[in-house]
Amino acid sequence: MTGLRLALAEYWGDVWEAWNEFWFAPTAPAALSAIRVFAGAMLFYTHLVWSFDLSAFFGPNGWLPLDLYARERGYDLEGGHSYMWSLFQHIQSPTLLWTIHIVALVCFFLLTIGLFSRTTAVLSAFFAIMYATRVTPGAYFGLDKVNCMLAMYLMLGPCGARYSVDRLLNMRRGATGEVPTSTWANVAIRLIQLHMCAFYLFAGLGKLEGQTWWDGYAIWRSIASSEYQSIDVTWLGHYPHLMNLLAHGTVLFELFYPFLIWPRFTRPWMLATAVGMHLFIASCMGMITFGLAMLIGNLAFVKPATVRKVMDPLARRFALLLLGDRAGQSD
Amino acid sequence: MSTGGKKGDAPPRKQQPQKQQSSAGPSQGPSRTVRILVSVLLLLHVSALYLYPLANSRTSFTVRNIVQSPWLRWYGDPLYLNHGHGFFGPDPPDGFLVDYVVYDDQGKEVSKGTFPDPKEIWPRLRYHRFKMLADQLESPGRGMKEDRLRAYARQLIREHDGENAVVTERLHTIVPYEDWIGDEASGRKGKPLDDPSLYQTLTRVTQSRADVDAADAALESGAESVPAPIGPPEQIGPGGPLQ
Repeated sequence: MTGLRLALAEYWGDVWEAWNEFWFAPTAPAALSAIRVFAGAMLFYTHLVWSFDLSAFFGPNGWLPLDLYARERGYDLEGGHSYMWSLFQHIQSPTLLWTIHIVALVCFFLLTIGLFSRTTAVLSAFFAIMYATRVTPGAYFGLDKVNCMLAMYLMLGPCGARYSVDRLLNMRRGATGEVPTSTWANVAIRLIQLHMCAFYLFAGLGKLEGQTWWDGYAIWRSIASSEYQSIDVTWLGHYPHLMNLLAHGTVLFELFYPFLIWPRFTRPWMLATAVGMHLFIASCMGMITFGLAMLIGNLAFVKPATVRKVMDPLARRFALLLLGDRAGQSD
Repeated sequence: MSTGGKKGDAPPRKQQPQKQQSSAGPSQGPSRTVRILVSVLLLLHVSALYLYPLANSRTSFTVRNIVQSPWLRWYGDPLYLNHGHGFFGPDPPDGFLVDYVVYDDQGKEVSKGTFPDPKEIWPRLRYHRFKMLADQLESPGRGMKEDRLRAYARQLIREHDGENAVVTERLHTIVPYEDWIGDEASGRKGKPLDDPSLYQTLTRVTQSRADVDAADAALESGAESVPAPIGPPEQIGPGGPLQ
């Protein structure tokens, strides 16, 4: 019995250690900071586009009037009470609506450039959820889910530690040393990673419920949809075997992403496939913002050292341009 | 490449003799108590991430009950976690279009169009929002489609300062591959993506300025019901001609 007890104690000790390492090992905040730059820009653009039709979508009347919204929000549609809430449910005045919109856009912009990063990250998550909730259902799609996910996790870690105005201001005050590693940067990155795995896993499982992802016609249905099409690639129809392989490859990629993205030998292949798939969706099916947002999420699987190799030279140029000698050797 | 910090930035894995000493994890960072508390929250959060998309119409009542329980919805709904991720699943969908005609008080046509229309609605993200307005007419909800269409009609009256609007939902079926490719042997020509036979008119509603005023008044007074329609929506059966 003592042997069994020791073995169990060792097992649980190992589990705790692995758990600790997975969630709480401090990591360099480079990847999180890079995600902040791109996700912030995506949030800014996404919400800037709402400006064309702000009152029509977010006002009390319009395409999605509030009374209909209250019913659709599912107060009893599914047999349960909805706890979804949007600030825009309570906004009647166009002036107030525009004021909130401008404040939100300023927040997203500040998040992108990394000024008051933690504060603007919290506010950006709040606003992103408020906008998405108000147009759900009605005008939402996958982009809103990815936007809200990225904004929500950015606020958990030091997303402005690098590639930010905050960093430049710190350097100006003489803090030109190495940016410290952070446990919360790791927590935020891990949550983005796990959320990305959920996206792909359930996208793959959902496709298994259909017929066309099995018989290969799904790619044809995707490229032949005039309403989605932005570049005509129906010439693929002359290569049915290629279309079938793309359909099967898509399902396999999505189903296996949550497993093969973790081992370092398979990770580059999964990321390369994600880049190919999302760029195809972005360019040929017109969902540029959604494709790019998913790629931003995939950045969470790129190690900070790799991110730094790409981002640091650019950041250094900015720092030298703005601070001159005070930028030192750091980024 | 490596994960966010595991190999490249995390401290090197400790050797066996140090293992017992470091069983609480890395010495940097939060205390063991904080880690345990945060771990519980992380477990709950990650469970929510995977439970919501699991709760589709075919899943067990156990999962559905969990997902519909106030305890989970209290957490997941406000954080916008309460949805699935069926991107282009189970099958890539057919397209939906909304045609409209707005008339003034003389019965003269003020505006006529269709959304989504890539030539009229830009940038692409904005086009996609209007595409969702058309597509999500078909999303679940008891009798909601007609109410949604009526809301669109009222909005078009507002936008174009009209008196009446007729709004029609149209289905654009994706051309089957075999029809598109045709058959050289039998001389059957391929069908284009926008062949008229692929379009089918589904539902048509009419709204007037009076409906707009009634809807606005109801909202201002806080009433939760949609104003009664002038008449039932026109249901157009399968095989309906292209407009």
